[in-house]
Amino acid sequence: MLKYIIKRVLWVIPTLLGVLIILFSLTYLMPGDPASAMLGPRATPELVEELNNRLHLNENMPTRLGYYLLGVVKGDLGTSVWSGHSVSSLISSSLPHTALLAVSSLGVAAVIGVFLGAFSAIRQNSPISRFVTIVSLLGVAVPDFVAALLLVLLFCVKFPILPSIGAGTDGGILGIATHLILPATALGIGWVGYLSRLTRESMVDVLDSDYIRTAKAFALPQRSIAYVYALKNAIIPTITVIGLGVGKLLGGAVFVEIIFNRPGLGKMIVDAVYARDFPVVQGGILVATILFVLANLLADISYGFVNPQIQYD
Amino acid sequence: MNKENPLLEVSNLTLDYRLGKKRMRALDRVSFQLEKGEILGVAGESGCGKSTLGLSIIKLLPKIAEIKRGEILFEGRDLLNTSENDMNRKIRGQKISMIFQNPQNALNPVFTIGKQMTDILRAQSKYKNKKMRSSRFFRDQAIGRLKSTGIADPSARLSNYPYEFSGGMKQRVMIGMALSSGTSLLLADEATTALDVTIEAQINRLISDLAAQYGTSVLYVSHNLGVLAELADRIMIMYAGRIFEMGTTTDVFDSPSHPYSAALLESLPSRQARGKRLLSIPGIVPPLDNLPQGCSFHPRCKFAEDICKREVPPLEQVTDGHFSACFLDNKRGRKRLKWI
Repeated sequence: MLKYIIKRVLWVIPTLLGVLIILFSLTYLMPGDPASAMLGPRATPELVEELNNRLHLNENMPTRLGYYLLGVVKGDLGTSVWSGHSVSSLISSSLPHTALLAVSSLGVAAVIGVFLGAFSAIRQNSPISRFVTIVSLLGVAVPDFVAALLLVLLFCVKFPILPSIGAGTDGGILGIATHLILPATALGIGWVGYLSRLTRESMVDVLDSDYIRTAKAFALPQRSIAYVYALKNAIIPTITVIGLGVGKLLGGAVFVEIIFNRPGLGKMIVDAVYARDFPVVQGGILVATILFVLANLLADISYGFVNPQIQYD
Repeated sequence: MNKENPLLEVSNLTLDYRLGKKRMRALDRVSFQLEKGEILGVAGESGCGKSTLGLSIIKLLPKIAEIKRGEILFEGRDLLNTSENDMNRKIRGQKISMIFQNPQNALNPVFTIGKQMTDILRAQSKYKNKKMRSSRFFRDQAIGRLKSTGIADPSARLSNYPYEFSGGMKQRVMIGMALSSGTSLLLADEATTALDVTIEAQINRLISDLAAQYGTSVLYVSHNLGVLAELADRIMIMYAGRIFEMGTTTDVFDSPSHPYSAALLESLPSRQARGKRLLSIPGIVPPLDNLPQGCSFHPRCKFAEDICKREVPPLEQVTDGHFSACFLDNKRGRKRLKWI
């Protein structure tokens, strides 16, 4: 197990290196001169020259890559072209909002989705099972930004009971919590649908398997057959999907953060793209990628805990 | 053996599988008895209903199965009218155990052998209303069960996962769980089919040794007549959901009365003279939703006559304790059937 974890952690290094190189080469894909693209048409040549020097844009490519990697290792992601704040300070103020949104929506969605899926697989053809199927289909079919707009219309316009703007940081824990409900629901509702369908499918297969028949033949209690013996097998694919889903979740968070005006990572990246604030875009995407890689790492490791056979693969 | 009170008495068991509008008769008026301590071998081609028979006794049939009529009496208890709850509390895993065809998948892949064994032992101890025992107690019990099946170093083996066991060892674990002093009936459904020949012989010896030790009766389902010849006291030959022939192993093997049994035996290599062609029974097993009129075997039977196409032959006694379902029995007398 330990060997597997170490091996899996070491794999993160080449993955991140690859991401860094791709992010770095993005500067070359920007049309025209990066500095004047960033500063706009009215920039003076002196300003362009100063920015070129600051971003090492006059150096050759390997040197620039070296500067870039060195900066990343030192935790220096550059400074925002517009605000002058360091990118890392911008990220550290926006990341908690996104992390809270992602963890609460995916966490709650995973618990509800797995339970609904398992339950409807155990009670196949019951009214509850059909209800779950319809709800999960709806959840999968409605995109998160549509769900977000509908929630705003319903709970902020028609029945104004929940706040719709910001992260509620000045309202204490209660403020943060109430500001989290709608965006987290909007982001998680599709996941409930998706995860419950996935768990249901795999649970139906597992319940039909030989080892469940063995458990029945030896009269293990029904509840322990379903929720221990079957479910531990059935959630293996679900765990993988949750890990991979973090990437999709960060994408969804962009829409949701913009609709609810939450000062999170997604909103920061989008604003930076509009403003051509390239260091911020680069830093933001880097952090998003690291989150994605870490989530996959975590999923793989927990996969190893659930499935004992993994350690020899 | 006590002839008045057999351990298991199945009478007229008739069972359908429903698939959409299709109805398939998987068991048709199956009647037989199993004495205490007896090993009854059930043989037949795939789809003849032999696995269904075992599952209907322990009541683990798939949902599409529907028992039309019949009765299963086990130690005087009417199993078909026993509630699920009572089946779990009193019968399954305690008095009646079942081991299955594919040991590779019979154990849960994500739990250790020890956890799976102790969970079962704990559940059964609770059903018997025994006083609460420590985990240590069940662990020792599990070690004892493993030891009884000849698994080396059982206490260390408890912390292994199923993938660390070979197929034969997994089947040993299953047998260890299935057979204990309280077990009256073991249902073995193709228990050694997936194993190689050497292991198969070991496992079969283990089953018959433990069954003899505990006085357990065995319903041994197999398509391997050679295995049944060594293991079983009596043999039951099934075809398309019906019993075609039933009798002592000697009777069925030495003087088969039904043309189908005779054909099965003639297709066994071990019973043929060297160099002689083996019999291959012409045709295939008919689909259960479209059985031929009359005797379901008549389209493949070399000896079929007009009556076989019209009427279903009843299972009748040929000699004492030897039954056969064929119209030709009386006409033919004791003459040996020869296909080739």
